[in-house]
Amino acid sequence: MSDYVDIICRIRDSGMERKLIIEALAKDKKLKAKTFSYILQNQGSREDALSIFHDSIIFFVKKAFTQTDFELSSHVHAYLLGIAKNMWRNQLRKKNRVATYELRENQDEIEGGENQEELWLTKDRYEVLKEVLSLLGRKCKEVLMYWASGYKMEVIADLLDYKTSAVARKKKSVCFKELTEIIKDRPDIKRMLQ
Amino acid sequence: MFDPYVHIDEYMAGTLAVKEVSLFNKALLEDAELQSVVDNYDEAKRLSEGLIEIEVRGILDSIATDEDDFIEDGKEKSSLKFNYVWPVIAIAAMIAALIFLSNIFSTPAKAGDLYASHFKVPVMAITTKGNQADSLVNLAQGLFNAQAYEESIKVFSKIDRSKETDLYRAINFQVLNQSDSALYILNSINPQSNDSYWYAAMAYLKVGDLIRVKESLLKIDKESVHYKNSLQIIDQL
Repeated sequence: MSDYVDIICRIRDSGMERKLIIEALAKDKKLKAKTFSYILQNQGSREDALSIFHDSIIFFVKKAFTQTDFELSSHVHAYLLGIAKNMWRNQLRKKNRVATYELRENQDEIEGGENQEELWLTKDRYEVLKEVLSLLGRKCKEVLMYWASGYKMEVIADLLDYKTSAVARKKKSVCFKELTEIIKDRPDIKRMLQ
Repeated sequence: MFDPYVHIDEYMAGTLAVKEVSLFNKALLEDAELQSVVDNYDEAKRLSEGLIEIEVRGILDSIATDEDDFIEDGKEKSSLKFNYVWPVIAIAAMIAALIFLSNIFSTPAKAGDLYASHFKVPVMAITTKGNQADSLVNLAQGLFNAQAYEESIKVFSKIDRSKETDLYRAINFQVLNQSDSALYILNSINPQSNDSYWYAAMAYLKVGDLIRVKESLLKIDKESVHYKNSLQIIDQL
């Protein structure tokens, strides 16, 4: 349980802390068992269950990282399970395999807020982009990630140990230029991102 | 001094002051790289927005999956295992036996062994002209030849791409066991050379793609210093 103290701040403030939290969530057997149990009882395979389990963690971390006003109103297990359930319901609905009322659950029990949890990053996209982004340095990825998520330059300078916000801004501009060069050389990536 | 690259977000969002917009537009006319950054701005921003998802998925992928020992509702899933474990074990055993037998009868040299005996890091020797941009090439060269590969790869990322620097940048990635990146760069070198074919073959050896190893090696000229070694490897594949 102590793994999840100040979980939102830790996700936002440091790459190392974020990694520890993601690992703790991925290895949390209780959370994993609950998610797998739900998917398997509702027409899913173990492959589906693992995929939804991972996607729910990605969705949660992304939301905590990008939405500065985000707060957990329930235990992280309940929140993540709610996301997983909604993701699975959406997938089933898309496949037209089942009417949602047939699912073994009570809609009122679902926590995690919205019904339309979807990730931008499909597995196919991930495989391609991972390769492309290996050409970009770690510091560059960090500064661009914080910038694109709406963090102010003063905050980025503080979190990433740049002397001033001007230094952070300059670093961002250099890294952004590098990223556009990579995209320019890869029309397939450009099309994927349009 | 006005640096248009630093103000690009305000320019794209339309929040840049009028005076600075005219400075930016002037810079656009004179700087093709700036024009390229503007042209690719939306896609680069979208990719940056996806970085958090990419980071998390990368961490999750690196964690070994251990779903076989997960507990459902507090109980081991023994009955589920019973239904499919034995056929899976039988198939796996058959596959292992086939691999074992094919190893005995065809005795192919292992890709890893071939890689270990043939991949050599060359001395980087690019002659520069003393331009300002060349100082980065010299720095990368110094670090590369001093085997400070983690540092040299960072400097390489700041150098304008060229056929010569790309080759060493790719080798640098290969030394760091990042074969995918090495191959991405090697395959984009234009025109290709005996060196780029050779190091692509090395990277394919590392990842165990023996078909592409052979394809790359077959493109090497007879006059090349790599020719004799490439024949040896083809012979052992």
